[in-house]
Amino acid sequence: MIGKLCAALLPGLPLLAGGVGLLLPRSSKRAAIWLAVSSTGLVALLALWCAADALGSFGVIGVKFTPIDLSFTLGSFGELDVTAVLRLDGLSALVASLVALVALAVQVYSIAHLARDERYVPYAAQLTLFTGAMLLVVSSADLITLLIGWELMGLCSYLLIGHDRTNPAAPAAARKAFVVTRVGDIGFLLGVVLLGAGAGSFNFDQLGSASAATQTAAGFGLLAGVLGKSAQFPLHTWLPDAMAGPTPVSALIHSATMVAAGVYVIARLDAIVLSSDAVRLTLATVAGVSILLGACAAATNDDLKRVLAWSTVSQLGYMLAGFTVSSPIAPPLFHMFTHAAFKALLFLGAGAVIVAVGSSSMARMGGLRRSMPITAVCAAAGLGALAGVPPLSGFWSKGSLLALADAAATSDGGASGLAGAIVLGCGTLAVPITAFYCLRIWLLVFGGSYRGPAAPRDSGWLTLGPLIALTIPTVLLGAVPLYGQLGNWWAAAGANYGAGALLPGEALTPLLDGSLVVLGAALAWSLWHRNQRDPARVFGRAQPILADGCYGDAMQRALVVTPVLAAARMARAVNEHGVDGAVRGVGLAVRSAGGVVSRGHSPLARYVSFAATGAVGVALLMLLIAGITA
Amino acid sequence: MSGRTAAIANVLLVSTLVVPALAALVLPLCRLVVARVVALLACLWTLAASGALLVGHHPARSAVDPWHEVDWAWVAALRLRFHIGVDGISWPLVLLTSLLVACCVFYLIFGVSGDQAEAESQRRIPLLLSLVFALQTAMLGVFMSLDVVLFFVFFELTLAPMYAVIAGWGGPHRRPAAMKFLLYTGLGSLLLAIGVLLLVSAAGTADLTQLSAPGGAGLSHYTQLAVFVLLLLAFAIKAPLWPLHTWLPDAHTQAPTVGSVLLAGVLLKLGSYGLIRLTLPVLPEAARSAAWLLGAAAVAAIVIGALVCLAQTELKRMIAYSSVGHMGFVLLGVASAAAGSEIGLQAALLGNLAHGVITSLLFFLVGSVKDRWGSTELTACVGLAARLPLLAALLCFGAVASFGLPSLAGFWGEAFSMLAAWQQVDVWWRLYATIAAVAAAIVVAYFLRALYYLSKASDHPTDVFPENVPQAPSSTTFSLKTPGGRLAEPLTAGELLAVVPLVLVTLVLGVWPGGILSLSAGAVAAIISGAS
Repeated sequence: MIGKLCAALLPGLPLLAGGVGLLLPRSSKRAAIWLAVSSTGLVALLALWCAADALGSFGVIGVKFTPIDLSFTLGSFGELDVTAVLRLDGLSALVASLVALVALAVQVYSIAHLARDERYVPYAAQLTLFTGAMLLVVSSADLITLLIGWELMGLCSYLLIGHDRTNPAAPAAARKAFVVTRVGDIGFLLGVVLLGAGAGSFNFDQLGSASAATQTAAGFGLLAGVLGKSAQFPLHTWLPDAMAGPTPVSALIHSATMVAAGVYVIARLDAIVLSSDAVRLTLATVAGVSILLGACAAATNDDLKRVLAWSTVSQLGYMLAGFTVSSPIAPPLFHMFTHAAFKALLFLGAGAVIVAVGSSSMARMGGLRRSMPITAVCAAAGLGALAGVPPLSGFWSKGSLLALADAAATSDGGASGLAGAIVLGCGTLAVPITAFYCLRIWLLVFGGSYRGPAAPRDSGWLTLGPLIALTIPTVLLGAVPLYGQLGNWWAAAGANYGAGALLPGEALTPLLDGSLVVLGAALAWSLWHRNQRDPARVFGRAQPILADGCYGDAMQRALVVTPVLAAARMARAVNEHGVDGAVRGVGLAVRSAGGVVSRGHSPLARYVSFAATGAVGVALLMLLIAGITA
Repeated sequence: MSGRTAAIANVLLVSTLVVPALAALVLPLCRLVVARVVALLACLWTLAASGALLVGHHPARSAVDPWHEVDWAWVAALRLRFHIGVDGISWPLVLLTSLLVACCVFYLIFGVSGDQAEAESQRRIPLLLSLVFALQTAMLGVFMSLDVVLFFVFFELTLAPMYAVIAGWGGPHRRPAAMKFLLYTGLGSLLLAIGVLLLVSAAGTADLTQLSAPGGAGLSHYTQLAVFVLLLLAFAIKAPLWPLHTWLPDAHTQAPTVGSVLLAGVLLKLGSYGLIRLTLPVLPEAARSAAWLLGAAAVAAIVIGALVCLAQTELKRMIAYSSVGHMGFVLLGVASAAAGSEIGLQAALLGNLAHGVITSLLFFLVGSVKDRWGSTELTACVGLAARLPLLAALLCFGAVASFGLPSLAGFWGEAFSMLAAWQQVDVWWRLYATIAAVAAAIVVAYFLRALYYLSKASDHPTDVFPENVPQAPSSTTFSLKTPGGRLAEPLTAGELLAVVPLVLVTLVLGVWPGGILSLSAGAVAAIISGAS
């Protein structure tokens, strides 16, 4: 009973609080703060309690090993029942606690960050709704509930990215984010439809009864949706533009919601999505491209937020690539956890820096280690984790993925080995680039001397608090035994999700990674330390191309946007001149015929004359038909 | 059910037709104050009576198994019987009609801001209300008819009041638009007349209960086909199905708000309802053989509707055109149903209802924009969200519901008509489903394009279609027409009363479609199994 209540409250509480928050008047800021923070905090506590229970410490709820399902029938379409199922198990409880904790940090941070924003009230409500939508994705155990959460999250991201009415880029960025992810969702929707039609049910547990061909086709479809939400090539283009949204929103989108949803869906449905080698290889390739593309673009951009956005593309690539080389889902999920912590930290830190400096261009920063020491230390931890510096969290999570890729490439044959080789190649190549851009960020923002006009200083505790709180897992998440516990839990939870051996004990990979990190960092340092100039100049003429994301936007415009708009124009022209033209022609003919019959000008007279003409027509037609049928 | 409750139910049933008819007759004679009271009482009574008809509902055992029915001889010479009733397929539409008429009445009698310039339009409100009630009588009559001749009579009766509403209260080009509506849909009625007469003379009865018996009316193959083609054309014009839709954008764009609402919310449903009630159970064989064609036309409507919307520059016209695509989804469901899918029929019924609610909501809101800003050109709506946040938020809700966000009403019909098409194990049907899914993304794109203009802050609009920009009316053109103070005028009580019920219904239908689905399940199963 209490378990079912928890299953309902995890997504239900924030969704309800978000809905109520939307109804609050603009002026009731205090109530909005109270509602948003308390509901997110409560959900975080609840999720932590469930997770602790799932990991076996208390055993109060009874989640451990026996997932709790809460289901209600939404309706029946003929023989097909649509039953919403909310599932509380170890996986959902763990990810839910991650989501809720990061959301809590973001909510607290937003109080100060949007202190002077007159649209804070709807903002806070939308953020809560966003959290609730992600928790709905996390809790779902059927495709329809998943789709509801999935699309609701898309809507909330749209609203939040477009939040800033004074930023002329915001409405276009918001629209782009929704449309690009929705293009991926064509596939997602079709995948849901295919599985529903093929398996006769939307329940995760029954999807396996769909035929192998259906599973492969649906796998491609769901994958398209995942690529959109997780900002992977070629549907990554919305993410850098989404930086037009408020920085705390970016922090949430890039860590525990939105992009994480794609990863989570693959984790939940890997038996379906990755059931065929074709999907597996496609994902490995796409993720490999994203890893490199994101790293290169991050290394060459000047805008601090865009750099971080591109690094998200790259890191999400690691996670998704991880699923193709690892049959247990824990290693890629572990990277999702560590990444959520350090990326949220980095975005919140960037927000503090941008507010202090008054610009998001790194060319106008520098020397902030003196004026913003606490932020500088937190950012150093976050960047170190992102680069994979031991013993910070990112080192463990990324390292284990590369080790798994190595194992797959060397020991597995066929598609799995090929996927391993692709992931290992792209992943290892990106390690020094990542280290390069991480050090570059720190040096340009915090190193050297200040280059901007404003007088920056460390922010208040409402801003620093979440930063410091996020620094703790950034540093320690690799060292705490969570990984082992998670692994044990998976191993025990058994066959459902394909648990198996976790970390291959390859000693060589971490050493190799470590030396590559040093290499990349050394390059950045050597280019910077003499004259404090941007190390990105090492890319030479390729720099603007890489910073642009290798013409991704231009290609998208040329290949999709322009043709669709041309088709729209053509459809309108054909419609107005062709179809309607024919109708008007017939109308003119009829009118002149009607004019012969009746000279009446009033509408009524015309109607009567028309009806009379019609009656004659009816009689003729009936005679005709009677003649045929007789 | 005891005799007394049955009698009460029958009184209620008849009153849903008689009360609006009486109101329509009385209202033109009333002064404004009296007219308001009369209209309010009439619409509330009809709404309550329509809702109360749910009491005593039972699962249908056959395609037409009404919960309540009245069967009186009327014109014996024409074998015309006054045979009306409600069942799980018609009741939701009856309630929808009564709800939308009530919303329109609220909008008309509470929505006026007391502007002295509108004294003239105030004076004519009783007449408009009378036409709305006349329309309600006819529309409810169509949904409740259990006699095909009666069905035709009511179907035809909807034309004149709608024509008068457009021609009398419409925009600057109202007369040609109204005439086009009248002639085009009049042509549809004509075809329907022929089809119905042919059907009745061939089958020997006009009673839908008998016509819808398992296996259909028992007509010969060629007669079935002839009747089917006639009925299909008639209903395709009404629904409207591309390429027979071109009366719709003009009528909608020129019609006053209540006209657009009833046109999109109810009149289009006469087409889809006719297909479901008259063709599927009565002419199953013909329907089955034409299913693929109907499916192809539906998909063409979905795609072309979406593309045309993407190229529109005016909000009201865009929403009008969006109906073509949405009704395309409904007809895709009907087509799958004709091919034997229960899911398709349920999706069509639900999509029908959802479209009625959501598009009406959008038309009310666009009407509010037009009243305040004088123009609904997209480029003229720039900055609306900053001045009228509530209206913009509601428009956003309507748009989001309209493009089928899961958890709102529009989603179910669209997703499950795709699913029904996919379930026809046939490569063409699967292609239909895939194309429909792609078009659904274009629907998102055009609604977001419209919202983009509303939420923009800049005074220098840019468009994805550069040629559209110079056509934008400059701010002075419309500020002349409407006093500057109205630009940011908050929503009136009448507007809110009209809009809020629709928002709530959208939410309820979205979160819990099962209630409506279970009402129609029996009849749907009977229609599909009777057809096979």
